[in-house]
Amino acid sequence: MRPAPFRYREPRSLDEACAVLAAEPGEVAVLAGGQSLVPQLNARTRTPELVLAIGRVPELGGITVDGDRLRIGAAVTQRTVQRDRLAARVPVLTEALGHVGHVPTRNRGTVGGSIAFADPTAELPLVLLALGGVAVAHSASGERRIPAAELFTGPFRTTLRPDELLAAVELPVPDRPWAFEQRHFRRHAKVSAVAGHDAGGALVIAVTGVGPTPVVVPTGRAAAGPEDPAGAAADLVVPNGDRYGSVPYRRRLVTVAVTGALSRIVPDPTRHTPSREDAA
Amino acid sequence: MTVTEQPAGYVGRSIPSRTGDRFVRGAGRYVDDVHHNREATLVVLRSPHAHARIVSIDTTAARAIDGVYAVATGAELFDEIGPQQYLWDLPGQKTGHGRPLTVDKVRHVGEPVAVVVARDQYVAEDARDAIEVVYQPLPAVTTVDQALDPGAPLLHEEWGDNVQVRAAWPVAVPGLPEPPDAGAALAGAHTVVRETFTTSRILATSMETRGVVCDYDPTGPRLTIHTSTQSPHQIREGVAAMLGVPENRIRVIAPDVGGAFGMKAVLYPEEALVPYFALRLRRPVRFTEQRDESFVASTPSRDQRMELEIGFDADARIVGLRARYLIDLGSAPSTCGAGTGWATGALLCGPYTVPAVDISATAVVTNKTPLGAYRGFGQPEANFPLERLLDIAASQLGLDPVELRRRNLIPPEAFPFTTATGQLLDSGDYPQMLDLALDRPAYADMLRERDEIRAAGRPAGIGIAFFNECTNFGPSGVFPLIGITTGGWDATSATVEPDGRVRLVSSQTPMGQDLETAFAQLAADRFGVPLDHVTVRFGDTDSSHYTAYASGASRAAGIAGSSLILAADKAVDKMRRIAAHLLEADPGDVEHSDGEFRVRGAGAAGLSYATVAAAAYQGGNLPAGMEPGLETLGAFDPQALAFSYGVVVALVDVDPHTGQVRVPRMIFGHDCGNQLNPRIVDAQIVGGALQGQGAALTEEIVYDESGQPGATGFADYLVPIAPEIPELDVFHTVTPTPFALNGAKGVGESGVIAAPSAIVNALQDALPAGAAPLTSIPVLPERVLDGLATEPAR
Amino acid sequence: MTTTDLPPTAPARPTGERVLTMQVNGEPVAALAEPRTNLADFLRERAGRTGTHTSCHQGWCGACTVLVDGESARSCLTLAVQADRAEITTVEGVEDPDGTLSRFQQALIEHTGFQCGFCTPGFVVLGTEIIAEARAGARFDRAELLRRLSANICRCTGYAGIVDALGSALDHVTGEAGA
Repeated sequence: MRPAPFRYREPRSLDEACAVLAAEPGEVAVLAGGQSLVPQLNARTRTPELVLAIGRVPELGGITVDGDRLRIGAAVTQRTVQRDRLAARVPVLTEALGHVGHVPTRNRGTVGGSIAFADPTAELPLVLLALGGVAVAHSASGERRIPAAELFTGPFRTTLRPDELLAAVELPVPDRPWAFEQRHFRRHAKVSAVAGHDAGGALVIAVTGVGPTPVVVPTGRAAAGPEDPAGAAADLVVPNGDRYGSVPYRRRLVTVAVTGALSRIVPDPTRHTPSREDAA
Repeated sequence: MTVTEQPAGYVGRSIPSRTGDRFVRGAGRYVDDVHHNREATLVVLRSPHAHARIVSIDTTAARAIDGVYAVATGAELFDEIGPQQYLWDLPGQKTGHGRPLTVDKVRHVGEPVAVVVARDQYVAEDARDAIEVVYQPLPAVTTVDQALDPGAPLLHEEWGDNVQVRAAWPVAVPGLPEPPDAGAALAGAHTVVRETFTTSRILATSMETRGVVCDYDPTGPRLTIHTSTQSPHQIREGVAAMLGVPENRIRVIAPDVGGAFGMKAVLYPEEALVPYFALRLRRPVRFTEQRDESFVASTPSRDQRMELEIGFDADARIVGLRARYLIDLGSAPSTCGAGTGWATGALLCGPYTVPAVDISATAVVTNKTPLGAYRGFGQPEANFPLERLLDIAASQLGLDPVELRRRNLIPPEAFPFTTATGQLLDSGDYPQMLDLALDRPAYADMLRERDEIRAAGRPAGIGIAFFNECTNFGPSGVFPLIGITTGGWDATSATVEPDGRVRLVSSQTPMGQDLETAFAQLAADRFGVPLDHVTVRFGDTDSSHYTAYASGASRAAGIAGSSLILAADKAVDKMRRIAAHLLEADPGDVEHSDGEFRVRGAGAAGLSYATVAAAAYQGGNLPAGMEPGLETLGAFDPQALAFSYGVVVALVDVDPHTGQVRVPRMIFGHDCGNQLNPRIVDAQIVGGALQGQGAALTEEIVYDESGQPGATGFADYLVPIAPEIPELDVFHTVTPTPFALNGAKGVGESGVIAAPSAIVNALQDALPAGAAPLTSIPVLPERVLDGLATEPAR
Repeated sequence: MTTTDLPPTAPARPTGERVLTMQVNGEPVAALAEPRTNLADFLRERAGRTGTHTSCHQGWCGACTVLVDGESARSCLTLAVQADRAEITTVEGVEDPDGTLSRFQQALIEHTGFQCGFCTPGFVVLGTEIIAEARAGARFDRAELLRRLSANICRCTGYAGIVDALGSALDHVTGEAGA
């Protein structure tokens, strides 16, 4: 379990990285933290001719907030984001990061890398989609802003072009609570749900682990949401179940995850509201 | 954990591990840490097909890669390396090609097809990927039912069918009365219960994969093989036979072994391939099994389906047992053969009085990796059906499951007890163990917690399972009768060095059971010297005495421990005679205590070990006719096996929404006779119980209909992780075995045997009363949800 | 084209091999490695630190965990070239320079937090990072500790001894902080 041979380049600027991508005729694998790529290299399920390491490109670092948008450079590690004061303004992102791998993989894995990898069960693409974030792509011909809704096209597939590099992701800083809920049997049947209200006050529910990409559950964009959002989410599960996660089982987990997420953001009027004393 | 009185010597005390210091510093030395100058790396090309004919293999491109030293196919090696031998060779067993590489046909995904030897792992994998094999796929046989179908494709055409071997009990012994008729007993029974149970294919998955490093010495030539094995001498025998090299030119060393659990008990193809290429290339060669290949190249275990039937009389006492079971052996017998399947039948009566049995076993071949040993060796496969069926019977008989077991456990006064399958159970007080478990404060906690979980709206249940474990394997005289081709004794050599310090060399192999500490304790007591005066060495055929079975079958404490005692006593006796000579006294008047020899009754200072040893090695002043030196050998062959036993009580907590199961608490009562080191005993139980939990709830290798394995990594093979551990209450009783000099029985396998049964019994208890019985492990969440959906019985 | 490779400390050779330099447990190490060489192989075979073990090469088991610039990483999922000029701490670098074991290492021995010892280096490094976080003020309840330890796999111990050892080492940190 060792990688096949590859050439290796470690550009020192975004322009240089884009120039390499533009010039390279063969398959290029972009290496950020490597926590998704190196397992594939080790298993030789991916044998790129060139590995382009972006870890030392200064423009790809940094976490900033510009108005109501959080921007995370593509080379910023998941752990850095998880512990960052500015990133904490998107609490659902921090919460989701707690479910991504383990501390040793989060120490090296990047937010951008996870999103570009587009694992159909991964947490971060879901958060990007649910919050209506943007992927900022760079290439030799300039910058392209890709809304999350247009980014994910299939399992491990995005609309990023081969000559493009994911430079950053941007997330709106929400002004109302969002919740992330995950249910899984170990790493199998892993489904996640994010629920919250967008800037216009409409209820948004998105789920992943149900099909080829993360998806927004059709809610009618009404503040109250559909009558049975969990059921609507469960209906999105497509038949590609494995041994530990048949379609009916994943439907059930989706229902549980969505219900759990909703219960945290939509106060149930029939439920006892904790008083100050109760909370203490 | 129960506190007993502190013994006078070291034995019986929880001495900290000697190995800890090197392990926590990263100073352990495992096979993959062993390097030689000019070494090359061997990589195996494995079949991607379950069943296919090999049409052609083109190695041209692989050979052309810079840094590739050799590429070879099965056809090229067929006459170079002979067939493997079989440790378990049941009467009538059929075997496969037995070669490290297959020649014309592949019979399971992962079967070795070709090898590459190259500069390093990276280049060797490059070359492996450049080998072009053309296969003609054949229909795969992936279930035992398919294998037995009259029209089934044959794995081994020359066999005529897919049956590898059969076995049956009772075994009629000439000159003894006919065994009782189980059929008549069942026909006349008051109540008969029957059910079919499945124990899935699982894998030990030691954290260290297998590995072999062979150094080459042109003198002779000689080979030094470091390999991650439980049985260095057995490997030496196997390699010598397969390569035609005399055993005295092969040295096998098992360095620190990073977990084994039975999976490394027997010879593997790479253990012959690596030394073969060391000889051929006249340079050191290494192999490190990679994790993905380990799931198809290392032997899995269990994988049985048993139809079990038990009859009870009006008092709920067992009158007869009938079992028909199938062992899914994989594509051909490993060196372990159908051994685990045989053990299941032989030990199926467990701890109960079963007057009559009718058991028959059939091992069939399928297009899967060959089955081998794994902790428990056939016993978990027996315990699960038996303990589940007793719970099913209890509800049918209207009895508490504990009471049903109490009525049928072998009473203490019946020992030694011969089971209906012919096993001699040495000693035990089973009912006392059962009562003690229910008296534990932890049991009251368990009942309370179960009620709390239920009050919180989640299903919860408590289950119990009893077991005994066959240990101290085993009497050499019996081995041929049960298909084992080697001896069952073990040896220790003891040397009192010229400075009076003690050095032991054991034929055992530590792999996590901390023999280094336990044997030092035993020796320090026997020699009467401080613990730090004793060192213990292992795992080297050049320094340790031959033993066939080495570390397996829970035999180190009792069998090797007894051989250690014999060696120590011989050394002490020789020193006593030397001391008597120096003291000008009769040996019978010389006492040995606290590391000194003195004349009984005389007030004078005694002679120290150093003084006596100096005389032994100087040699000029010894009793007439005595040979100089102070090295002795103890070899111990037990008269009989020893049966450890115990009880497991488990609490489960079920998430009604996801069907996922937690095991918040477990009680584990255990008796392994005299304990050399209670800390080690507990560690074996705690670790084993969690492996059992994995078998009950998460672990399995499922093959699809084309014969592809569903797990080739830890992503898919779900071994337990830290958040899943139960709060475990371990307690002990002590019933020494009369068949070991130290009264010790084994403990290595106890943890895994009954934990699955107790957990699944608890899970059944958590389900609604009318739920269909849980009959297969692992019990996955969807099965739990199915059970929860049952309409509650009225 | 204006691109430049990472300035190598020696000219890149046709195989792509280049000299990598690291501080490993405080000692400088310089050795040739191909870009595809992973950090675990570099440490074990070029730097001679065999305490770091590999078991799965997929990041699942954690046996190969080391600290890269103070943060835990899977050395099987890190290319050696990515760690060029980094400070690496392996299991061999956790003890004091005079050989005194860390409190967690001692606690592992006291609580039998190992059996075969193969996964132990990974757990030692994993726990060392957790204890460093505790020293910096982080607090861990049992559930969080178990979650953190779920990064690594042990097949022998049933984890009990590892959990107890880490708990005891953390109690000591808390005690220090309280004193």
